[in-house]
Amino acid sequence: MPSSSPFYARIRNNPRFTELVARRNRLTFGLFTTVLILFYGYMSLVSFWPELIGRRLYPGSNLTVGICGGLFLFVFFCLIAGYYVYRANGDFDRITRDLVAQAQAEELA
Amino acid sequence: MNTLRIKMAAILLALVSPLAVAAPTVENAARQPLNWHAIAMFAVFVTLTLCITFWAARKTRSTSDFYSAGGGISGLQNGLALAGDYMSASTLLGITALIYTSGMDGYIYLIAFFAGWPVLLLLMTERLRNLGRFTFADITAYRLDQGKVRTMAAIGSLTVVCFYLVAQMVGAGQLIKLLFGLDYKYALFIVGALMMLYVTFGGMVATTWVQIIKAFLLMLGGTLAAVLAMSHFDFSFDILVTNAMNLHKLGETLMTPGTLLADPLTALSLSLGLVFGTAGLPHILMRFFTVGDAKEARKSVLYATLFIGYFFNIILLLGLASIVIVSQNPDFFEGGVLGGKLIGGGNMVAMHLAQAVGGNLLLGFLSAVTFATILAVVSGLALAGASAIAHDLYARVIKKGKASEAQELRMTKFATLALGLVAIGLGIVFENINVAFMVALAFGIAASANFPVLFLSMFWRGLTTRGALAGGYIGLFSAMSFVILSKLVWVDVFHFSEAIFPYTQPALFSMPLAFLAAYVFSKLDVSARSHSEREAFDDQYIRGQTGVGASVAAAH
Repeated sequence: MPSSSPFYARIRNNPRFTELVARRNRLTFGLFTTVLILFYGYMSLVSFWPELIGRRLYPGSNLTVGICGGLFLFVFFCLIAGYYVYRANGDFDRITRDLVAQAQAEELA
Repeated sequence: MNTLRIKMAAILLALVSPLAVAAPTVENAARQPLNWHAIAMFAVFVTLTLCITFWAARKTRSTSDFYSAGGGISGLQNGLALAGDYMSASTLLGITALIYTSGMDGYIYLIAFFAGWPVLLLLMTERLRNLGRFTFADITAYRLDQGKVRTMAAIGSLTVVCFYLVAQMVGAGQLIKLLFGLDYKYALFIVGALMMLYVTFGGMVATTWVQIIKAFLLMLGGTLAAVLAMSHFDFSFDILVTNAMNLHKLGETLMTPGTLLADPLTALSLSLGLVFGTAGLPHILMRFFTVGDAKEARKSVLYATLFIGYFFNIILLLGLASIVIVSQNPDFFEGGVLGGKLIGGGNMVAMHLAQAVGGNLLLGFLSAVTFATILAVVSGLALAGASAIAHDLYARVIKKGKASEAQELRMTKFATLALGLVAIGLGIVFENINVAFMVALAFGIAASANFPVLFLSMFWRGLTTRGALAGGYIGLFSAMSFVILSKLVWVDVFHFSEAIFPYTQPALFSMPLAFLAAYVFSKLDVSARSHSEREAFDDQYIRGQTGVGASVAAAH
């Protein structure tokens, strides 16, 4: 079981690990901020400008800004989740596998 | 302001507790005649799930099978189960009713309730899976004092589970009385007995499958009702809204936010509690350990997000359609008076709509799914509680890791039976309790006692045992105190004239308090142990990021 401290140290000292963490943090932070800004932006409109939420998109239509905005949030949050999983299960997991393989090879050497 | 708070409480209920929402209005509702369609379909569901339990029991041999299904659940299956934990019967009943009465406000709550999922995915999923094994206390206590920190985490878990369980049981009894025409006490015994069967014999495998089947049936029933309802409007959302606006007493303002979120502080506190409380609910967190690795865990949250997003928008259609279809049919009102009291109370809107568009068959189907939902959620809670008792308290704290597998497994069964009896007993004693405050308390505690310490233990090197204990206990007690001093308990239960704490939602205040306490006490901690605890973070960090050393699936 490669879980001893020296094994972890090998991974930690690999520059690709620093790169992995930096890239993933950048992505996570970016997406997380986007979610918070959109969600609390929508909620502020609900609290402070309810008339806009209830306004029709164009005269004669019963589609409102609030419904369209809400639907957009549902779809967009799903896309964000999908994009994160795509990146994390693709690129990042590949780098992780390489890192572990390298550390194992070093241990045997 | 007062009506706002009452409304807020009702809504919180609707969102948070699968059943609780039914409680306030159900109290006065008369028992319904026996609903044979529903009972027949429910019997089919119970038979099927008991067969699954029997099958699962033969596969449940180790503690790992019991707590986490041996890590052998796939991402899609776990996604459905997570969605099942979240899409409760009374999201269906409660929010449909809210849209029926207040229009846009219901949709806003659906959005607020949904926003927790991308957050859970981005912040928690990966590290939870990489660091934990059976319970979230595994992570909190990872590099800290096992005995003390685990005890604290288990107390937090059990408190949340107990309050939630009582709220569920009380709501369950009342809802079942209404839907099936069964006596309240019989309903409690049926729910309690089935729950004990599923969990003691089938563990996580059975609980997960009950949840999967129920989630599937709930989405199927909801979709069926929505499609049938939309056929009345040529499948046009525009026609639907036009009709709804013409008939509703709110008229043109139907799609404008009402008073619910007019107070920004209450809105903020509520949404904080919902988003981060979800990330502190033991029965949700437990699901992350049932999949093979972080990759499957991420997938499962993505699937859950998609299912929940889909279902929540279905609910919007159901709510708007019932404004047109239910409110114009005298059959659904007591004495046949349009606009009077709905038969069975306000929460029966979705059921009436099902009957109007799909006849007794669809009504029976939705009723049976509602009962199934109660069972599934209660089982998940009991399993989470049993894990905290058997894995955290018994095996790790009392036996200090020296309990044999067989001993620990036996303890899970005793714990489940005990929790079942406690749930039935409390359900009978508290038949008339205000379920709102139980649920507010459960979510407040989850967001304040469980989430901050769990989050810091994964992300902050500086967290020490002392800090974790201070954060956890201060979060627990401040959340409880704020709820007790709020209108929900101080005025409604103790009958004082004025609430001491002006908000019904504690999270905005108790959650930062917990973070602050954990931070300050960790910073002040200069003991020798605290140094090694900080140093241990480096290895934990590598494991959290890469999954090296994480627990693997059953074959291991």
